[in-house]
Amino acid sequence: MNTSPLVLDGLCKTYPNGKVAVSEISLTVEPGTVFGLVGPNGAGKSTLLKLAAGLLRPQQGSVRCGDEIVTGSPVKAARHMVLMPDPLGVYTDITCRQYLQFFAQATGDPAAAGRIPGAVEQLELGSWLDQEVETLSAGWQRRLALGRVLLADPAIILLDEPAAGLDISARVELLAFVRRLADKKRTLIISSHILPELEQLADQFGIMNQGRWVPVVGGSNFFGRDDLNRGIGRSFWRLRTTDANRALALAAGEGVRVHLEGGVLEIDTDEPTGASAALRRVVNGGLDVLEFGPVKSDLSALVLEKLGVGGKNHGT
Amino acid sequence: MARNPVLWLELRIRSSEKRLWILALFGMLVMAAVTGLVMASFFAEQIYRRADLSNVGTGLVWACLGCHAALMILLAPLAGAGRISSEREQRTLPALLNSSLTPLQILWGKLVGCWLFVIWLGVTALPFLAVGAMWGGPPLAMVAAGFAFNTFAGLTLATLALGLSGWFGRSLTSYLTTGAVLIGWLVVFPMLGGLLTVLDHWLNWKQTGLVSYISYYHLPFTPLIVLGTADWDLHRADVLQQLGFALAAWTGLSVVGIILAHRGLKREVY
Repeated sequence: MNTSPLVLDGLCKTYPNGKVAVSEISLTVEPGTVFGLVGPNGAGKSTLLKLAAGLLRPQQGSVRCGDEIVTGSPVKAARHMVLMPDPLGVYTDITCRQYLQFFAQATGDPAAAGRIPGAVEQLELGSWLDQEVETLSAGWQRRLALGRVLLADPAIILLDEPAAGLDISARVELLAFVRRLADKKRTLIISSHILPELEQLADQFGIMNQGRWVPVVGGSNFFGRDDLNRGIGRSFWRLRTTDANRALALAAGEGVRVHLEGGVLEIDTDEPTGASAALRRVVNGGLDVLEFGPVKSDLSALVLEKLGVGGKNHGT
Repeated sequence: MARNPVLWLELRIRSSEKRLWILALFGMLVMAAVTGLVMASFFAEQIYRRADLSNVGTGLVWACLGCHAALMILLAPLAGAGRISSEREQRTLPALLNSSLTPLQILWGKLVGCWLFVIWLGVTALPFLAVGAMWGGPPLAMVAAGFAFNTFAGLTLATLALGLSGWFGRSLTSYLTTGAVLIGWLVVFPMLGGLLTVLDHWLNWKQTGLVSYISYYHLPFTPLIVLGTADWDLHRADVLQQLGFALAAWTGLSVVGIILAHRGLKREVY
């Protein structure tokens, strides 16, 4: 198993119609990391994944897996990674068994055929093996396509909208599947619009918009799940007291913004110590504190805020 | 080559296509009808006057070879057209390229797949040619040469169609372009040849040979006409030169088709 990082360095891609899809994008994903790629439609996420997989050639920049440059070479890239693109294409005129056999051969790895039974078991495809692929629902076709990932058993897996078109139960199963891959220390880059699920899966996140990274914390383009839990560089707290209006007057101070929301004081501070200072002022003012705690950021609200779409609050 | 997974995939997909069997059946029905007509006409002639029955075989062989040539020209391009563009259309190309298979391996798999389809179509003519040969047709070498030229023409057309399919993202565009190229080759060149022949006659250029090479000798059905009509004893060298020119032209076109297909597979996948 390759333990080298995937390095995308200064990638630029402009399509023949003049649309700049990706501009100066750099990213290093360490082995075993699950990276969540977030952004609106047309942000350049799919283009970035295709650039990484060598299916597109950048005008500038390079893609490296360890010491090997794989820029614009899908065959070289395939030694390290498998891309599950969106929209997903599967051969519909063959049976599931033939599909898996074909991609086992196409990996060029003699051991891949031996992985078919394991993949079938893991994806619960047993009862569908001799059915034609076209008789499968979209969810099962997606599951079959994941079989290709299991057969190739690459170090790096690129999943472009893996949950698109799946119902809730299929999404839960997909989540479990991806989690198993992450547990096996595979490097994953997942582009998804289903942010609550991505939030559970990914260790690191990056938001793309108009082909560029959106700076998130202190000028950095990337943030981790811990950053999300800490409120992404800002501190949000909720305070419930016996007198909300007095608490509002007491809590305010330098670098601390407070407002009332349904009888609960919401405190937004630049520094983590700002909330404790506000609490101290409220307690010293003689009010009893009924509830006090941090408000976690959630990915959806953060993305909306960073894209200038959502409200000021990061969520609840 | 036998271990090329794309070839096996192509064969599996093609063998499950109804089109393969319908076209083969259509070819056999046409051949059967032609055979029946030829034999019926000879036997009808026999009623009125004593016709030479040894001509039955000759008539049958040339009629079947003509049918074979027509089927190759009409159906062989279907073997190659859309084979790569359909991968783009169905969005299966990213998965195919994102594997250990090089564009060249994918190309050979697809190419041999469509060649086998052409050969399969050709094989359907063999029983009828055998019947003709048994009834005292032309020398076996002549029958074999006619069959081989037809098959080579079919392989060339299929390769060219495969090459064109590499350049399009939609199968319909690929089929239409293949059709346009076919019309250009089979209709425009002979028309140009006719025009040039008239001009040659009027202006007294004395370039009939050159005009024939430019306009006719490379056409997929010309070698069959040459084989059937040439006087081998008088013009053996000329006939061989004309047939050799056709083979060279078709080889060149096949190479163009292979290069186009390879370049098409190396194109970016949007």
